[in-house]
Amino acid sequence: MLRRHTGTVRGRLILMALITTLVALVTTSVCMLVYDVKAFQQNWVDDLTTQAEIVATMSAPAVSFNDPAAARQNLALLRVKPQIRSAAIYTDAGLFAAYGLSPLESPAFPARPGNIGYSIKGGSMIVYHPIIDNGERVGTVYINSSYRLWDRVVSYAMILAGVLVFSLLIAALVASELQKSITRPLLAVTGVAREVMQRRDFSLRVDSNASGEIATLVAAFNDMLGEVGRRAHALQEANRTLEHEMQVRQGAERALLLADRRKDEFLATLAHELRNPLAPIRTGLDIMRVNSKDAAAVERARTIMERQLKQMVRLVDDLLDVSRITTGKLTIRHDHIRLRDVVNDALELVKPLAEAQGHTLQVLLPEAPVHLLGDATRLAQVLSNLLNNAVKYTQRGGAISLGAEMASGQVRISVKDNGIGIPPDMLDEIFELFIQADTSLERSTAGLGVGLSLARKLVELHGGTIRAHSTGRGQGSEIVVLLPVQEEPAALPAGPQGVAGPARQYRILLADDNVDFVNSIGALLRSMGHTVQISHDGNQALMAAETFVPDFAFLDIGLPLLNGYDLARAIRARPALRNTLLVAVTGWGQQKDRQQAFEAGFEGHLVKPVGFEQISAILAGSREGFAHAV
Amino acid sequence: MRQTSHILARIAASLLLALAFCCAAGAAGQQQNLERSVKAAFLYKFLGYVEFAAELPPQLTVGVVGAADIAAELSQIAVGRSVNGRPIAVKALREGDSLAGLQLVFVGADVQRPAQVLRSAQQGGVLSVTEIDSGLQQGSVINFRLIEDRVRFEVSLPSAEKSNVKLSSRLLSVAWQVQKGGQ
Repeated sequence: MLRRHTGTVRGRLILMALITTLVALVTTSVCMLVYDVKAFQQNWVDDLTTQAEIVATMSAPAVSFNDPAAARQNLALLRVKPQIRSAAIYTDAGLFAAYGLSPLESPAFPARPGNIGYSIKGGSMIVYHPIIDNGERVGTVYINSSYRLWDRVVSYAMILAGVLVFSLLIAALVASELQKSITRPLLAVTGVAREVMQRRDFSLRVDSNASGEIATLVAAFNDMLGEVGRRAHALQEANRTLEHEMQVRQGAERALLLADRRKDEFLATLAHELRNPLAPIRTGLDIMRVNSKDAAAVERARTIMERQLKQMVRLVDDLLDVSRITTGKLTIRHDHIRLRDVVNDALELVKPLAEAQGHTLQVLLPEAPVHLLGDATRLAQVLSNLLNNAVKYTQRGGAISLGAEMASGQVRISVKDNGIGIPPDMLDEIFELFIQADTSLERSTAGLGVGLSLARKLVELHGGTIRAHSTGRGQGSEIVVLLPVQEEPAALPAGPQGVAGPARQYRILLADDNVDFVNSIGALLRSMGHTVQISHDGNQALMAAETFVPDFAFLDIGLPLLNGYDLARAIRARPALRNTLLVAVTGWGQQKDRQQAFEAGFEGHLVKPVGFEQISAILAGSREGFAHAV
Repeated sequence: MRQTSHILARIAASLLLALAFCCAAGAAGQQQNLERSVKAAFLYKFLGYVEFAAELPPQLTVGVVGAADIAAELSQIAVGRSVNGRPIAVKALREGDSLAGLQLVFVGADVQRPAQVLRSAQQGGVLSVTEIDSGLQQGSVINFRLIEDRVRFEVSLPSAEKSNVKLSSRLLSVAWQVQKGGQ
């Protein structure tokens, strides 16, 4: 208990003060006691000697003139000092006069006087003092006094002990008051430290108005708490950030896995879709080989093959568009166009398929012309995609409608069918890349799952929105496109194709290692009256260009010996060929490929497969998709 | 000095013892002797308790009139002694002798006309000591009496004043009687 109590700073401080006080007091007391004993004895000796001297002086005549009565009277005066128990005067003859304090007990007097001076025996002090008269010693005074040195020491020690105890009490009180100025801040510090450990709350602070080292300690402790708090907080923040990052990463990983899976599915679908047209084409070729004489059969086969080829081209175009979407390279033109033209273009593409499926196709457009700012081809692509979906996902003989109406500065175009519909949870998802409502491989419908995604991207590029509505599976669906409308058409553009001028004859260089392709195109151009030179590798093409000096040169990029880019640069280096219009024909359709071609010196860029109409359009003066420099 | 004081003390002690214990009848002569010695010693001691008006000579002189035994005793005591640093001379005088130069005069009991001597002593500023019952009435300053077989003395302050001597109060405190003014 005592150990525990003295273990505290408070206990130690008080104990320290008490011990210090005790040591000081004991030292003082002992010194005082020793001094007092000495002083007491000296005083007593002096006192008794003085008394004896007085008696001696007074009694000198009495002794001289032999008057013991007078001497007794003188001795009797000692009565005023009760400590003197007995006294006497001796002459040479012996006891001359005597005095006893108590008349009852007769004190015993020594027969002869002792030596001059004092002596202490037991509880009494005895003094002998000479009586001098006229320079002669005539007698001796004897005084016997009680000498209570021990009593004196005891009482004095008791007083000192009392003072000591009282002083210690006062010291304890004072120390316990004074130690508060030290222990209170310390207690505050330890209290806060304990609380911080228990509650992990680093915002706690020690409140103290101490001064000196204690204040420094408190301030340092507070600063330390602040620092620890800051670090703990920073650590927590870092943890939280890490956690968040982890979540983001996990999300990204999941998204990547999902995208990977979709890509796998897409690849499977793509293979399937690309394989599908090949069978009819092969069949067509067989028909043409077997029945080459039967013009009708050949024509039928050719039609089938053409349709299947278109389907494949469309697939590949979609793929390229997908590539543009994923790389963010999809761009649109901003022309003044009319909704009706766009709708007509789209219907033209879809009508044959719809009729083949036996669907009824209803179109309802506003009377007044609706003007839009955008890319006619792309918007037609959007609508044809939507219609195509409607045709595909509706059972034979369904009802498909396309409607458009003005709604607060926007045109609301809706494509509706009564087909298989869309589950509610898929309404948003179907616009994602590679998502199809029906993912079974045995599905009757075909597609890559890019149509709607492409449509949404294109609509967004036009500043519009696209949403799907369906009441559920088997209930049909409605896709609604909202597009901003241009109120005042600045100027009606001329027809895209323009007025076909009188056909001119040109000198045309064709360079491609695909002999069949280039020969067939060359034959077609020759049949139109143009002069055509054909090369199958780069060097041949360059030589041909130097001698032939063509007006147009359609050059494959992947030429043997000298690639298209180097060929273009070489041609551009010839001043004689300055006016030759160079068009790249390549399987690489991305923006960076176009840019590379333009940098090499090409003005135009066509992506394979190239239709004859694209070439004839360029010859007619169309510069769609050409470099801005031209 | 010490030896003499012992002698004196022994004399006084033997006197006292004799006075205390001896029968009056058996040893009258011895007692007479002792009494003379005590008186002589007292005479010597008186000198220490007296102040004289006149300036003192380097030697004090005590005259003894009509008491040869006392004079002899005193002479013995005075040998080698002094009072206040002054040695003491003893003169044995007869009646009618001049008292000039004396500081103290003892008039013995046998003197016929002590009054005359005392008068001249008063005039001469000499301290006078007698040993008769009417000593003070006759004009003496100090007079020896025998009280209960002890030698005591009485003092007359008016005589002392007339004699131009001052007696110490310590002497008066041991006097048997002190006559004050008006008597």
